Amino acid sequence: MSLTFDQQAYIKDYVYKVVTYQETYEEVSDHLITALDGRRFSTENELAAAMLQIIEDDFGGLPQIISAERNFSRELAERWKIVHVRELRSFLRNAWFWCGLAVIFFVLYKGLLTHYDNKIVLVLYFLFATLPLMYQLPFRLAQWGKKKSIKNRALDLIGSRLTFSFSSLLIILSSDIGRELGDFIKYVYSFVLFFLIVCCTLIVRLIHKKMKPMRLASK
Amino acid sequence: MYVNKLYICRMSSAKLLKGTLQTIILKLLEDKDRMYGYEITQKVKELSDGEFKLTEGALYPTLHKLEADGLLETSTEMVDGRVRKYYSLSTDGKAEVQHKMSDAALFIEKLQQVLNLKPSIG
Repeated sequence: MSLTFDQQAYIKDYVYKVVTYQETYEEVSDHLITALDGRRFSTENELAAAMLQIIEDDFGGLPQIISAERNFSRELAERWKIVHVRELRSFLRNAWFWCGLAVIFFVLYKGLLTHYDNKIVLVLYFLFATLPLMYQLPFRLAQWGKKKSIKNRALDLIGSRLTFSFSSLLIILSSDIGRELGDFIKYVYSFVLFFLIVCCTLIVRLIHKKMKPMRLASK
Repeated sequence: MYVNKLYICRMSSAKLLKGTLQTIILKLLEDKDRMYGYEITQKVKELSDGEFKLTEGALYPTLHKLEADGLLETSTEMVDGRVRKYYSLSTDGKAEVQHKMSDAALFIEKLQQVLNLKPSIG
């Protein structure tokens, strides 16, 4: 005999209150409901006792679940950072990159020399800087009303740092400090900006690849 | 003597199992395209005639580690009104199964040699 709707809701509510991330909530509640399915419970206390027993036996207790989700969140962020850096390296190794670099770098350099205080250019740069966060927005909206997602958090750690670095550079460039910069410093800034553009593009690619299963699941 | 050895083996099987858990999971997923967490625990129990029980929260941390390392891919599906997370081997995971299996075979062979050697010394 399957668990009743109320019994399933009781288990889900309990798990929802104790875990931090959506992924853990879904996985642990599915495990508990599947493990308890077929058993008969006449009172809520009986159900609670059986549920806590499974948490103890299969997960090693609540502290173990909480520590496991923290570790997973950290491991995933570290792993995706490695993937991002690896993709960046592989991108930099491609020969066509150097041709593209020369063209874009020249445009950026010229742009910084002549149009560094041009509002439209700066707005365009700024829009590019926020691209990873904007691209992630639909996935965030899909999580609306749910718990935080471990995957979203891992991508946040990578994307938001880049957006922050990119935006800070733009703010400096558009300020009085930027106007007083020498040509060499602008040359360095052009390089850093270009590097950040590449990083942002690759992060968008990473988000697209990693969040694809979530998008498919929500359909 | 034999009974004592068997008892010790059973007592420490959980610890021994922890060291080979990645290999077990990867092998199970090689045999079956995709599995969810609870299904894996039941399959291990069934294949070991109830001798091996995945406890102490060892399964999910290992699954998450393999996922973070890019060896497993996940997909979700709605089952009876709740989300179920399925694990399957990634391309890297498929290659890693072979390495893990040969490592495990070598380890068992060497362990056998060492364990067989001890009684003959005594």
